[in-house]
Amino acid sequence: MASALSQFLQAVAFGLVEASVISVGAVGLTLSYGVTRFINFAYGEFLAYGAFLAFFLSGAGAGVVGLPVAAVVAVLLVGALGVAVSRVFFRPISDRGALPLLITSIGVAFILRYLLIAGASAEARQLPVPLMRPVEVAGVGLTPLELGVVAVSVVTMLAIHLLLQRTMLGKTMRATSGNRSLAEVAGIDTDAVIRKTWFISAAAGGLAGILYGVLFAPFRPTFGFGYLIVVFAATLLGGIGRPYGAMLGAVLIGLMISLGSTYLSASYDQAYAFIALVGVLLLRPEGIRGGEF
Amino acid sequence: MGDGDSKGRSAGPGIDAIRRYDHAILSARDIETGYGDLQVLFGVDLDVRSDEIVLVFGPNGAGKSTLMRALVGTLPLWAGTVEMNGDDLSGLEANEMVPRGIGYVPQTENVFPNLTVDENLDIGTIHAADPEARREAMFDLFPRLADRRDQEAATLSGGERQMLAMARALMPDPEVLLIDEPSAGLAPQLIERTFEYVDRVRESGTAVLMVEQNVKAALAVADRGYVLDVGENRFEGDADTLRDAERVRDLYLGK
Repeated sequence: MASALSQFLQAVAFGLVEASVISVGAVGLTLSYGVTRFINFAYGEFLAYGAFLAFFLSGAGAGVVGLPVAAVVAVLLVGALGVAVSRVFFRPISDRGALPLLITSIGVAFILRYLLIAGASAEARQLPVPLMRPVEVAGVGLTPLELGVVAVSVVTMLAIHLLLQRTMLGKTMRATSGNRSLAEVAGIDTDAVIRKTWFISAAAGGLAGILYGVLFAPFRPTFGFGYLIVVFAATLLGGIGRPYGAMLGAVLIGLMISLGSTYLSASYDQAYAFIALVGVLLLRPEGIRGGEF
Repeated sequence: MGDGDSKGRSAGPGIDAIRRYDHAILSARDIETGYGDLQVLFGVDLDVRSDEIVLVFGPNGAGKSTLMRALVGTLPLWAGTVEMNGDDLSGLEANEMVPRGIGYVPQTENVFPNLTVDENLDIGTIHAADPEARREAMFDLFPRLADRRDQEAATLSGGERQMLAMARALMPDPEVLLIDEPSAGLAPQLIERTFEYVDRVRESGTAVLMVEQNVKAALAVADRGYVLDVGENRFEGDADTLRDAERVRDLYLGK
């Protein structure tokens, strides 16, 4: 009995660890949707670029700096990549409606992915993280690395919460999300707000990719697009465009993947997210219509 | 209204002649604009002087809201100019109008539904010199908003939303406030109240330009008005003159 309980608790703990990664990714995706009103399918590539930039900047690649510094630099670079991508591909067609933007973003995803493969090869890579022994508490074991991923995610969620609620940038982001044309006549430079939102969104994607790389080594340049489905499921479950919904959705999807892997079969982990996604579309279709933050 | 400089046929208190004013704060000249291939405004002149409430009225489809949108820069001008204290505003982005002293309350969707009352006012502080003093002034003007300050705007009643929309636009202390149909969709007992607020806005030192279908009630507080029809000024005059003019009454005020 005790072992059945601890198996369950262990599965929940792993679920929360994965939820930490999903949450950072889902919040980033939902923020860009909230102000631009289209689903950015190139978002998965921000995850891949984050992980690969961190890899090359840290010991395993060029060996210039340690992983934490490399991670910070990578996150900032991916943020800048997000601004550049939106400027080059999305802004010129921003008045054409959501569908052309969405289809363009699929094309952008391919461009970014194959540029990454061209530059980094399709080889699987691993971030320079030490193998660690789990610390056991009440039969539940997590490594310090996994706990670190949870901590980074919690801090990120708190930072985004404070950004949205306490800062003028956050309020102008929410105002732009709620009613862009009113935001404009209220004196908000909405182009600048959208640019900053792209930075934050892509940077969060980059961070999610690094956290993914820490947890699930080795990874290939194509992992971002695959994991986008998982991130997407959490985003929709929470109602796309709603950051707090995305956080809740991430917890539910993380638990689903972990419990499914433990009790059904570990071979289908991302399929559980896909099932959840289909379930959301059937039972809660308003999730894809989206809201504002 | 001594500094009226007559453009057209007859002088006097207005009506047929669309007077132009030299010392206006907001001046529009020969404005033409529209949507796609559809021209809506065919050369509209308009002035708002300080301490004035100016009303724009006319039948549906006359281009009243279009005129407002052209003035605040959400619709590009095809021809003509908009000047604020002599500075040409033509071609500026809508968000650049606020720091130049223009406030705007659209007819619908004029609050941020997902922001609280306080946060809606915060948005107004972006271009406010003394945000906290302005916030207090707004709560003095609209005490109801103070009771609702932590509520999301989506939960407000229609009348409260209209107050919040005006308060948000007034936060930067604009020289002129443009209001599109402030009484639209409000219960009859609130309509009169709305025009009292408009009057108080003017008393606080902000000139008002409003579009309104509820002409009789609006003319009661307005100083001057323009009658717009098919994208052109038909008449201009002092509120009393417009109210009493038979042609205006027959055509636009209802029997």
